[in-house]
Amino acid sequence: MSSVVFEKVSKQYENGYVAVKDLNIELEDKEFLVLVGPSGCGKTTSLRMLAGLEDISSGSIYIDGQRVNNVTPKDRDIAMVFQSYALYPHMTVADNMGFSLDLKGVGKQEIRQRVEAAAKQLGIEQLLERKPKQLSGGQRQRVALGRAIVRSPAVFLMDEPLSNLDAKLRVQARAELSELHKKVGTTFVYVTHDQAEAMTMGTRIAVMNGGILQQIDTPQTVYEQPNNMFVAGFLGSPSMNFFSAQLIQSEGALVIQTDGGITVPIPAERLNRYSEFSGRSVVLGIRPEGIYHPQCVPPGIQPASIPATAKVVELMGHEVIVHFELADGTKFIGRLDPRVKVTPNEQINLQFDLTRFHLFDQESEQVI
Amino acid sequence: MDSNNVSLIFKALLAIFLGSFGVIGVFYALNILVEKAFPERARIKVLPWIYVGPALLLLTVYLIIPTLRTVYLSLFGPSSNEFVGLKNYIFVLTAPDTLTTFRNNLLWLVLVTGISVFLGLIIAVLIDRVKYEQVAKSLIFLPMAISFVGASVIWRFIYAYRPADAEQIGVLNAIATGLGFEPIGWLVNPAINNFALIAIMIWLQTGFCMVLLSSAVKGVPADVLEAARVDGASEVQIFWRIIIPMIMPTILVVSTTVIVLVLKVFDIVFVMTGGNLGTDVIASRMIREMFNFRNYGRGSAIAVILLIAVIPVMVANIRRFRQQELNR
Ligand SMILES: Nc1ncnc2c1ncn2[C@@H]1O[C@H](COP(=O)(O)OP(=O)(O)OP(=O)(O)O)[C@@H](O)[C@H]1O
Ligand SMILES: [Mg+2]
Repeated sequence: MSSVVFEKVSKQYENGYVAVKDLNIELEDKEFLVLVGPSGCGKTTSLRMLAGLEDISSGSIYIDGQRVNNVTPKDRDIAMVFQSYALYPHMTVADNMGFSLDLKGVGKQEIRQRVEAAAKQLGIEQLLERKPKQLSGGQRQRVALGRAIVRSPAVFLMDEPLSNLDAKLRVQARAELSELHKKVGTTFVYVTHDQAEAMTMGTRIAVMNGGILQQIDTPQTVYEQPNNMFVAGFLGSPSMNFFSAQLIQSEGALVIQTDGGITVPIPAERLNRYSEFSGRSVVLGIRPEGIYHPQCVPPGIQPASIPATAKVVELMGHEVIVHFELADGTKFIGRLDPRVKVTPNEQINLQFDLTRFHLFDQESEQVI
Repeated sequence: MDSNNVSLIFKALLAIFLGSFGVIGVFYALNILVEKAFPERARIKVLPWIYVGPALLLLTVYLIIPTLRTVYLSLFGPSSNEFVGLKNYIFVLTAPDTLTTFRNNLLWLVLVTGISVFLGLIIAVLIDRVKYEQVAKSLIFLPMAISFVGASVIWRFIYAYRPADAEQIGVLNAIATGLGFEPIGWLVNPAINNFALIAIMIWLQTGFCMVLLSSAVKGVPADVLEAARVDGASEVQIFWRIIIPMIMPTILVVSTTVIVLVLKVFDIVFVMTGGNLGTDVIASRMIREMFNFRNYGRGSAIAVILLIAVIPVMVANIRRFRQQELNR
């Protein structure tokens, strides 16, 4: 059992900068939480406060119900994987991995056993006698992981552990980490700015921006029902298209009229939700994959025709990314089926899927 | 300022000018010579020797030849005209007087190296957390800038001794009498005079050790320390099990440097006690044998023994240095 709770946690650095503000997170045992957000949003700071490496300016952090604000890192029963791996350069891999057990006074025999078991799990048995200097980046990353799992801590903390790996290795390590999480069955808190890592590994993801938690939920919910424009724009690549618009009554129906002159009717099932916002300035959000070529409209969507001009066409193999322009010059991006041919400057009657659009209040940028 | 002084200063400036630019000129001329005289292929082989050559020549003239001559002289009598074999060595290694110098040197070696390296290390680690780090460091480093003779003069005042009824001008005895004790003969009491001298050397060397060790301590990455903290290490355990092993190369270099310095120490003893009252060390004994007692044979024998004592330290240092280069 190892729950983690952040309760109104704030961090103000000595220079007065507030890096984290009123952070509230409740993690249950065995969760894999991914903290994600742009550079400088306070992810590392939050993780370091949880690790005890950084003082908490206000609020409380609880591990397993125990308030740990004044507990030193060594007494928090946590293990941390650093971005730089921070291996002890003067120790062999085996000693690196066994160091924490040795400090705890575990016997040599048992240390050896546990180190070997962990090494086997990570496929690094043959490296145990090497020094960190003699390892490749990927091997070092495994050793750093091994150092953490040998201890069987209550909580695993990881700060961008994959960012020093090449793209291919990263994909592989991602899957291995998820696997590891299932196997060891403890709570993971994982920091990254890579949304692919966040989406694939987390049981829940917490999106932060400017030191403030924007949304915390399962990857799917955060992706499909973003709380605000920041979350909507941060997750997904290419990111969501935004059109500023008005929500108005036209000929007895509630419609979205964009500043570019497009009019989109509100589908019947959302009428209730939006009717109270009639007359408001809003932002229409639609993801690139919610935009279809007229020749490739799948069943089950509610298409709305939008004429646009293709400007730039990027063939990616499994998809085509097309940069479009509306008549008034508004730009947006569509992700189309690669089977249809799109040529630059071609005029296309695009189909927007009205089962998957988002409306945000223009002023507060919150979803409505 | 009289004309004598002016011409002295002029000569000094001339020497500095000729010295620095002369060397550059010599290298420049040799370089041109090689480029003109040799075909391209041979040049690569010859050029290094041209650059190392002058240094090798100077080393031979001023270091190797004198060393060989010292070894030679150590096998002869006081005025270098009768061959005595190993008699000088036997004397030096058995006479109570010289044995005392060896004992003293050992004492210097252990205490100065041990204490100044240890103190330097402790200060280096602690000073990392001090607000006015640079100021504190400079203060501790300051004695390094003072010559051994200068330091000795300062410490003569600190240790100065006057009879109990006279006014004490030495700081330590002023404190001692102020507290109601008898004044202490720091430099004449055989039980403590060696330690009094050793303290001066420690005072001089701690700053040096601290500065080198401090930069090594700063070189230990912060996240490695944090990893150890998370792994459950206390600050003391981090010091012994992470910091010390990680800066071991620097500790060894600093230690060997201090060891060599201590083996050669002479000025402090010479100025403070003249090597009397049981405070003689190898180097000061050597000077006294040569110039006070006019015994070149024994003086040379001591010099050779000193040389032999330094060699293993130097070898260890060079080995370590090479290993470090390899590990880069
Ligand atoms: N010691 C410090 N003193 C003052 N400000 C700091 C300190 N450490 C971090 N900050 C600031 O706090 C903010 C959050 O830093 P943090 O390291 O948590 O960002 P991050 O989300 O981990 O970013 P990245 O993805 O780039 O690692 C940044 O704006 C940073 O400049
Ligand atoms: Mg970070």
